[in-house]
Amino acid sequence: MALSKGSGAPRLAAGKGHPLGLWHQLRELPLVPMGAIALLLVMAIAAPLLAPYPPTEQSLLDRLMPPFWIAGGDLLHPLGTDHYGRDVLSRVIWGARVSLSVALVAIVVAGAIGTVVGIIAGYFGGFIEIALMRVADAFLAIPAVLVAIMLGATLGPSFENVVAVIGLLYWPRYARQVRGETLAIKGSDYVKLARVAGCSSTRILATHIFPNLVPSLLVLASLQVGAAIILEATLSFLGVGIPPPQPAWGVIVEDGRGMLASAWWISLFPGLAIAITVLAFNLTGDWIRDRLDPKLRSR
Amino acid sequence: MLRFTLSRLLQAAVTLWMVATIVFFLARLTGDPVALLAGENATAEYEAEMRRRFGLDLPLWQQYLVFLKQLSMGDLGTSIVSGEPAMMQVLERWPATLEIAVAGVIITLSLALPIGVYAAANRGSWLDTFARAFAVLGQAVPAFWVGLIFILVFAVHLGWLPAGGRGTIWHVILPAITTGWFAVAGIMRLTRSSMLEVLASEYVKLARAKGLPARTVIWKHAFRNATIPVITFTALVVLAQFLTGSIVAETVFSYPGVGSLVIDALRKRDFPQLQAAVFFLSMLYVFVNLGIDLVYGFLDPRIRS
Repeated sequence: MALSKGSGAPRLAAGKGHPLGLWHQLRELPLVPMGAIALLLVMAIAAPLLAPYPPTEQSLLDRLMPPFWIAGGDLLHPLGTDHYGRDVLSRVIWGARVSLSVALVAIVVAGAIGTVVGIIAGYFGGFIEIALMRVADAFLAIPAVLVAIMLGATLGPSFENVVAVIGLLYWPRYARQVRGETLAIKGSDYVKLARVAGCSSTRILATHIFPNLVPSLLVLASLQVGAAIILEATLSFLGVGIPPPQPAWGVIVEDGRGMLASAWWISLFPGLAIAITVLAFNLTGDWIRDRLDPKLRSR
Repeated sequence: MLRFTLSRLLQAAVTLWMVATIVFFLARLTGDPVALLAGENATAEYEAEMRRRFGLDLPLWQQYLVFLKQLSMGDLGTSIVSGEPAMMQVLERWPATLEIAVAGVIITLSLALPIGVYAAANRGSWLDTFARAFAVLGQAVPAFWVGLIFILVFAVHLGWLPAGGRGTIWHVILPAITTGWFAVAGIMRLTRSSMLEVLASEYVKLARAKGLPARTVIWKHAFRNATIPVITFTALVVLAQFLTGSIVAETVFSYPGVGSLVIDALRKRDFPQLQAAVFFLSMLYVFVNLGIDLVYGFLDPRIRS
């Protein structure tokens, strides 16, 4: 899309042997978003070490303390505390672990289902293809958030349910993409040659077709992480995602909702965390798309 | 066209049937509805009587058929909390949801289209920079949080607009913007890129070369053509985002529509009510989807095949 490179200046082709090649490539990296993602990953992995307090530890003496720069605040709780005296900073740090793991696992689930369905449909064609693609279309037509709410209501909110809902919602896009590309690759000479050489279908799919699908799978996945994080946060906020008192960002925002006028910091900081995370993933995703798969740009 | 219409109708019917089936079996997963209805101190005879009355002594597949039959007549059971037909509540609250959705679409388009067009026509201007930044930022910020920040700023601090509830036109504004939040960013982005494409085309150059005023070129020659993909996108967005958006916005602003009914019923464990509201919204979703498909098929014959 024209948006990501507003000037429209032609991009320098960074050839391999060129002395400036590496430098140009480095300069074109989205360093700030990638740095933010690295930081988030560190937060998620090292949450127990980084967070000053356990995320669900209550301290009723320190209830509703404001952030440190406001009168009544204290550096012991830099971003303040909630109505149970839980440290907001610690909860936001632990929230990175919850949100990132839900989004990543869900995307892997969606990608796996979609790839298997798409590759089978594209490779074998015929009735199988029609049937599988009809199922994918039907899933796209189902209002997923409503089904998510029903699922959360009946099975109770849990990590697995959120992953299942996001996975079910996102797999048809992978299936469509993979099917289209498999069809194209199937017609190429090297696949025909492999068949003539006596390769089995499994071998052709695994060694000749799948590796060629990886770039566009990566592009699709990187573009969906941000949306998955927002969906998880929304479901958690509505009470059908990650169950409280677990520190998912959506849960923390909901915790503070009733005290918005008096204790705005409870809802503000986790929301900012969501925004920064999604922004970082979206910008990086745009960059990966521009690099790996210019075809997708027009969509 | 007839073949196309019939196949789309069939598809919509199948989707609705799938939703109904999911709803039915999910509801049965929750355990015995009779235990919920009769309460803890009910006698075994009373429970058996209830079971007969609600048809729960039948085998599951018969219950399923009965459910489908009642559904086809618009009967979605009785709310456990209010004791009224669940569909009544839904229909009572429906106008409120429609209100917000319509206001949301109007606000969204009246913000996104002019800014997108202006940004494209004045590439590199401060408004263009702002529009691009907003489009990127807007899609990263969750709507429920935006709603809360709106309450904090416009209701708590400035006191300009009410923080929640329904009544005057002022009550509609914040929920409507929240509902359309993602849509504004997306439509603005698309309008801009679509306009840029059209502005670079030969017929726009010709129009300019003829000496037509810039306003005429932009609005009459370019904008009309640029809106085609935008309309497609808007229709899809209206569908997906406004449905989710209405649940989120109505919950954040305590607006008494179908979306907040879903969440209310969820919190009170009122399953018949939840089923009815979810099914109603799903039906809406499927019908709007169908409508859009048919309009496209009518406008663009290539889609029909």
